[in-house]
This record gives sequence, C-alpha cells and structure tokens, in this order.
Amino acid sequence: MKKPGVILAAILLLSAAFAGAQERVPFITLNRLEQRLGNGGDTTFVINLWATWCAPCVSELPHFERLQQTYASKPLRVLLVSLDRKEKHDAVVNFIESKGLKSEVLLLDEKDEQYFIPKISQHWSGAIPATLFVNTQRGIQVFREQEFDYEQLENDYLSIVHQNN
Amino acid sequence: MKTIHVLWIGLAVLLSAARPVSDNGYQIGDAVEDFRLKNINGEWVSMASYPAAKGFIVIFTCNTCPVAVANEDRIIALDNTYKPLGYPVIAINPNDAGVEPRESYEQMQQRAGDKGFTFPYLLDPDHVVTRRFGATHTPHAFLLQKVDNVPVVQYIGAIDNDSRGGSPDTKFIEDAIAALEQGSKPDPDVTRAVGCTIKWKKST
Repeated sequence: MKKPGVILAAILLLSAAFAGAQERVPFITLNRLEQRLGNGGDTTFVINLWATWCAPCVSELPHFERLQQTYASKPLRVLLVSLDRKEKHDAVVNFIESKGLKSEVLLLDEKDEQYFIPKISQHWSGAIPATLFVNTQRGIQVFREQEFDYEQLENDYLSIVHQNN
Repeated sequence: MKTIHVLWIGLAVLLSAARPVSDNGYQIGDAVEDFRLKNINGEWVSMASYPAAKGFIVIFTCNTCPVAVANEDRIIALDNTYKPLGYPVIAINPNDAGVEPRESYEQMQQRAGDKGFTFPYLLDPDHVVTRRFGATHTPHAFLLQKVDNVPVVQYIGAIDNDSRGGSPDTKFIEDAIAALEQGSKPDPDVTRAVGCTIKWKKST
C-alpha cells in the first residue's frame, strides 16, 4: 500500500527537478524573445549567442558575467542565448551550474536556421560567438560577429548607453 | 502594443537596409580565381588540376569545430556521390594553427586519415583564399560551376538544413547541383547555418 505513495513522491520529485532545470534555462522562441526586447523600454539587452560546444564562446562568457555584475544597478540585461540543440538542454543546465554562471541563460527553441539567423540579424552569417545589443526605446540595434575581451564589450555597451535619444 | 510594433518595424527597416552577410567575398555569379594550395599529402592543388570537372564543391572546414566535425560524413558522402558526376569536393582549412594548435598540418593529416577523407584537405596560410571567398565560419560551402571553363559561384551556405543535427529534410547542395544539371539556378542560392568563427591569425 506504501508503493503508490513512493511512486507519487518520486514523480513529484522528478517533475520538480525538471521544472527547476527548465526554470534555470528556459526554452525561448524567437517571437517570445522579440516581445521581451520590445517590452524592455530603456533596458539595454546584451544578447550573447553561444553554445556549450563553442570554445571561444565559453572563454568569453566571464566577460558577460562581469558586465552584468559591474552594471547591476543600470538598466542592463545580459541574456546568454544558447544555440545548443534542444535535446542538449540537460547538458546546458549542467554546464552553467558547473561554471557557476549567474546571468540569465535561455535556450533558443528554433530549428530553422534560414528563419532565425537572418531574423536575429541580417549581418549574421551564423558563426558564433556573436552578440546583439538592443535598446528598443532608443531604436538601437548593434550586431557583432566576433569574440570580445572585457574592454571591447564594455566599450560597446557604454557607447550605446551614451548615445542620445 | 502599437508602439512596440512600430518600434519593431523601425528595427526591421534598419535591418533591411543592412549590408549582406558577407560583402567582402564572392557573391553568386562571380567568377572564381584559381588558387594553388598545399594538400595534406604534400602536393599542390588548384582547380586547373581538374580539367574534366564541371564544377566544385569547395568547403571551408576544420579539425576542431564540432559542427564541422559533425558534417564530415556528409562531406565524404557528397564527394563520393558528386565526384563521379563532375563536382568533386575540395576542402580548405581556413584556421590559423598558431591560434589553434589542433589545426596544424600534422593534425589535419591525422584527422583526414582517421576519417578517410576522399578529397583534398588544403592549408590556407594567411587566409588568402578564405578572404577571397568571404568564408566566415566552418563549415561554409561554395558550389561552383564552370561557365566557359571559368568556375562561377552558384550557391553559398550550408550543406543541408540541419547543420547542428543529423536529420535534414532539405539537402541544399544536392538540390543545387540537381538544379544546375537541369540548366536552372539553385533556389535558395544563399543559406545560413550556425558554425564556428574562423580562427584568424593574430595581427602582430
């Protein structure tokens, strides 16, 4: 008679764990991401496109972490958007936990590269790392298909913040 | 909500005025200058070495990019299918071994041997040919067809529509060659895919 309770508990535990993982790295469609940016007002979004398998992406992640922490009191939002395949969700969660990343991490829920690559930026060939800076209120959108060191990243961010409306 | 839409239209207008993905390299319809690059067997390869070819599948690929590695079997399959039909694969490694030691000549020989590459795997020191093509990442493919004996770019982009996975439902290069063989133009003639940035030599 105890068994169903145990199974139920196990199911609850598992689904809680699953929800937790989902919560840490939610899937996001491009439409949802665009809505988020569109609703951001004067927030400057720094959207880093990366993947766990991309070595130069992984080595520049600390710069994005540092930027978010340095300007924590400013309307800055760093979004680390993973291009890992959907099936690799667990691997992404494990990766960011092992690295102790604090930034918001999302997994892009899009398969069709002919749709999402040009929609994120016409300038984007698909190579990663790549980073998009968006401030909707100021009508600013800057795309960089490059690796950053911290100074370059901070300069790009500040040049957007210092642009007049 | 309306304001948001207006803003997005504004962004879209900004974007559509933007330049194409790679404005520095060959575009569709451009004639391709011959090159002479060293193969992993020590021999020099140029397109002129293939007088009977109808065209070429030039693919910028490398040892270390997981997406490129995931496409190796597809590249071998393309060469096996299309070399006999007149479109051999020529692979070029665009990466600098000084930046990424696993892209060295010896490692290229090793990788090609391990995988049983059936096609040349060429070095491009100083990225001369890479820049001429305007390759931006690995894997990045260019389909050429000889017109009056001059190779002309007919398709640029991905091998198929699932570069990161292995279950494509559209095979861009195969479709493009089929179109050329029927006397028509590939559609699409430019595609994009997620890949690894080229490891450019550090300027001194």
